[in-house]
Amino acid sequence: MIATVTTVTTTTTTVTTTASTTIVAGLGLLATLVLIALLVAKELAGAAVESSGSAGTVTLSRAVDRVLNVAIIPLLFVFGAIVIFKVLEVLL
Amino acid sequence: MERMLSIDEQNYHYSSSSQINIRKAVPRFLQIYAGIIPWVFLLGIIAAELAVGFWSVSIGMALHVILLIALLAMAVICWYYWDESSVENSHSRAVGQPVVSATDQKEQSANARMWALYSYRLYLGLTLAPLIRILSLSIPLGNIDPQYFFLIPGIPLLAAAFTAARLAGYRMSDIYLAVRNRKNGHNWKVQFAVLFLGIPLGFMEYAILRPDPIIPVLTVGSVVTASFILIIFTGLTEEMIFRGILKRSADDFLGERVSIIYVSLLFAALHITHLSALDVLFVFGVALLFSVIVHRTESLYGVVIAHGLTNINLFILGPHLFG
Repeated sequence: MIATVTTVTTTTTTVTTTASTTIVAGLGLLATLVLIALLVAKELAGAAVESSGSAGTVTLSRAVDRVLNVAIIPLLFVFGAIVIFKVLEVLL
Repeated sequence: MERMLSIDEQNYHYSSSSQINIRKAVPRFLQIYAGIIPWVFLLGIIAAELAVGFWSVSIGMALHVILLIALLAMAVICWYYWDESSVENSHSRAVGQPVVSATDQKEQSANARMWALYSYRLYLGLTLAPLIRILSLSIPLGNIDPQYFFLIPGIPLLAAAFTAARLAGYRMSDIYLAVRNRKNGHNWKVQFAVLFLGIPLGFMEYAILRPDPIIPVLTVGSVVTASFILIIFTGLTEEMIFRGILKRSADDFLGERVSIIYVSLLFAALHITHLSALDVLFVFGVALLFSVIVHRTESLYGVVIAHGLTNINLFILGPHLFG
């Protein structure tokens, strides 16, 4: 069981024994910033594929464009989850 | 990927002889440190997990983010050299370099391409390790029922695993998930026997960790729901990542024996946050056992269910029976 570390007090795999809203929010913010950086890099790479004439640049840009998907897809889910939890927190 | 990748059946592993063959196609730092870099990443992941567990969650998270970016960069570099290192690109001969026959040049180029492809697959697979921790730390789970703790980070993780497998060009049979494998069907009797390993292993891990139950009262509905979540989002996801994608890519890059140890160390490292040295040792042993089973049977199905049963006994039955 490895995917269960949380920053709140859990009954399973507690990492920090005190729930800290600031830490949770900070970690979510860091994940969102990483997502934004990766999306910017992917967009730039996509633009370079279309505009560059050099074969080497096209290959490199295509590599960046594709490889980044492995991190972008799960981080998009994290972003969505953060938004949903925040909205629910305000509504409930 | 523009071109469809497929597993080459040629027996290529990183070695001193292959180092000679990749010389023309890849940068110097990759030639020199090719065999060391995966171990450096393993040490980095251990350090990040130690930081999360014993020092500061924020610093541990930052280390995982750095590792993720470095692994993505390595995967990009290797993909680039896999795509670039073709026969057509190796015409030029530097001053002082011996004349190489066309056949040797072709062989060198083919080896360079295989090396770059296997490196790309390994680094792409390794990105899943820091992602596991980043996902589990950054999703706010404060008000969520404990039985869903495994579901919420599990969904993006499973998506990441399938994305990595697709980007690496793996078919289901390559990561031991085909309904019929190449050797002997699946030998379902063996797979059925393997899944029962989960029962004693779960109770043994419970004796080490003594966690609280994830469901407060045992009802049929809650047990079925929690068991389903544990089998799919811990059993399938973790086995697909470690014994599927990572073992397959490390087999090709490091060789089969070393890869079993490498992947088991990585799997154990991601249990450091349980804050129990005994549990890390136990998990390392279980990972070795599961890797050998997958290696012999070429199927993940038995260990997926065994892993799920381990966690069911650890988090549901163990606490209610012995707690």
